[in-house]
Amino acid sequence: MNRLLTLVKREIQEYKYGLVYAPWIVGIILCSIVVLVCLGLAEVKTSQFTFTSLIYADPDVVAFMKTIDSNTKLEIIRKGLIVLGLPMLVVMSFAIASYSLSTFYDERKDKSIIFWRSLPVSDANIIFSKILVAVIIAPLIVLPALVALHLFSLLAVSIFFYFSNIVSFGWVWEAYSFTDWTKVILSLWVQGLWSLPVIAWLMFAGTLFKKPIIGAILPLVSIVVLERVALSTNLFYSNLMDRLRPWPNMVSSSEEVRFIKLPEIADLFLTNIFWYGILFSIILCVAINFVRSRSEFSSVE
Amino acid sequence: MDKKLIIKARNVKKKYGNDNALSDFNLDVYAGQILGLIGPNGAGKSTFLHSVLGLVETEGNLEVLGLSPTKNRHDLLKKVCSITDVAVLPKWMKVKELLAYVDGVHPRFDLSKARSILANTNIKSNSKIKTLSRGMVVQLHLSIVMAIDAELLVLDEPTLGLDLVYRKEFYSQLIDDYFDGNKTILISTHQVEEIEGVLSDVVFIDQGKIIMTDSIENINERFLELRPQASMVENSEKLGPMHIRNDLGRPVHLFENVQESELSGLGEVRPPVIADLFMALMDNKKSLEKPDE
Repeated sequence: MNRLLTLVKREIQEYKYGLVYAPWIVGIILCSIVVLVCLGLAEVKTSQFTFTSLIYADPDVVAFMKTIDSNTKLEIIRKGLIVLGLPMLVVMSFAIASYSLSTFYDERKDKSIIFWRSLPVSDANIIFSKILVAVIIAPLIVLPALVALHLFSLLAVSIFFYFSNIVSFGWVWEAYSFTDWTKVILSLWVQGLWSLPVIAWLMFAGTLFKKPIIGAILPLVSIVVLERVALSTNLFYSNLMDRLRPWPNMVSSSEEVRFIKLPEIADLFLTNIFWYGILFSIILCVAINFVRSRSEFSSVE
Repeated sequence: MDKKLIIKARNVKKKYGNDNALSDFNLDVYAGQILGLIGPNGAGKSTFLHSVLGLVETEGNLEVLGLSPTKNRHDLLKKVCSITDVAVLPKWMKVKELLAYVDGVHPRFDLSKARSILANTNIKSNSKIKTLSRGMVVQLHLSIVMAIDAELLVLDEPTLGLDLVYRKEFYSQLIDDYFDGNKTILISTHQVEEIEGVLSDVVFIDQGKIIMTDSIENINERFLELRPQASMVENSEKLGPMHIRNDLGRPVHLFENVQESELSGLGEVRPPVIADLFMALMDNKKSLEKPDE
């Protein structure tokens, strides 16, 4: 356990800019936007929400807020916070993709693989620790930044409501559910497992190819084109896109902004397509193990 | 008491395409030896060291500390340390992070010992490795290795690219502070003259084959180099030197299994330096391979 923690810590130290700092930087930018919105200096529109303080000039809106029931209030605040946090999760996704592509490539590039492999840590342990970081640890690292963003935003809105005499200071806090954070992390972990074939493929490309970005994209594009030309089907493309998109019942979908529910996770785990993805990921990890143990020597020679 | 067998190589072979990197390689290395692998580029030194570390698979029978290097690599690396290149420490890491990492993964690493070794250097624990000079990186690597209670240390060109001061410092630290008579060290380097004084044994390798293996003590008894006086050159030649070379216009005759007393009246007699002995053996080997030339 201590060894695994050491391996995970090393990964976080090496990729701290993407995995640790980037979410906080995005969080600070989003907090700034929240402040600007509260001060009436900015307005942010999304497909489902418009963040603006100007609507509170309308007495009907204020009257609605004072009479709203707690469940509706909870849903509005929850959706608002989820949408607010989405840029952070998008950045996290890119950070994980970048990490997955770089982690085995960088050690070959700077030859540090020779040092890592001179220590009594098995290749399987190394690969497992990297998968663990991409699927489990990276979302955990984002969570504090997300929580800080939520709390700051709620505080800013509370102060705005209070000083604008719209509702009481505690109005937003009465409805806020602190258990939502566990739902966020659960949703991100399930998303990580759903996207595991993509993560493993990127790691494999970083292990095998001299130009990992081209190496990661070109074979996939080739398969898509070949399938289209030879079979006139898009099966591979649609499956690939499914893995790249948020899982259909994830934190946010185009139809609805909501959290994943436990029965939905159970349903996902009962589907063949989910386990095909896990199996494909395991095969890729075995391939990474095989290539890594040899690519290291070729870099020496 | 018999010394513990650390490396046992029997008919070890390794091919890269059509090239024989190692060919019928037979070698026993015992505890307490400081063995130098001497040979030209491409002789197979690194291939053998990498096979000892389990980095390449070989044919034949190779055991290191009674274990198969490829099958039991994980267990083996608990007892074997290596410095294979000066530039392999992760540049993005801080010194203290590196020490913490090794401490977390290596059961035989003594963190406080590493810290105390580093305290005697100019290396700061908060420094990033990329800010250290090449010499300091090697010093750091050696400090880590010295803090590991290993039975075998494998050094493959460990001082490559270092200036003379760091090279001398490296080997003096290795012998004075690390080597305790029970540990075994395997060194491959081109700077033979610098390690000659620290070696207990040598293996001469060429084209994947062992040309000669012996202890320095035996070599000094077995081989003698004579710089005959001008008037004694013919007399010396009559004794049948195994090799003749010229040094600044003067002949130097190399003898094998000849008593010093037989040569002492003919000129200056001394044991050959390892590099000269190796070159002599190589020349003789080439002459045997091309008898017509």
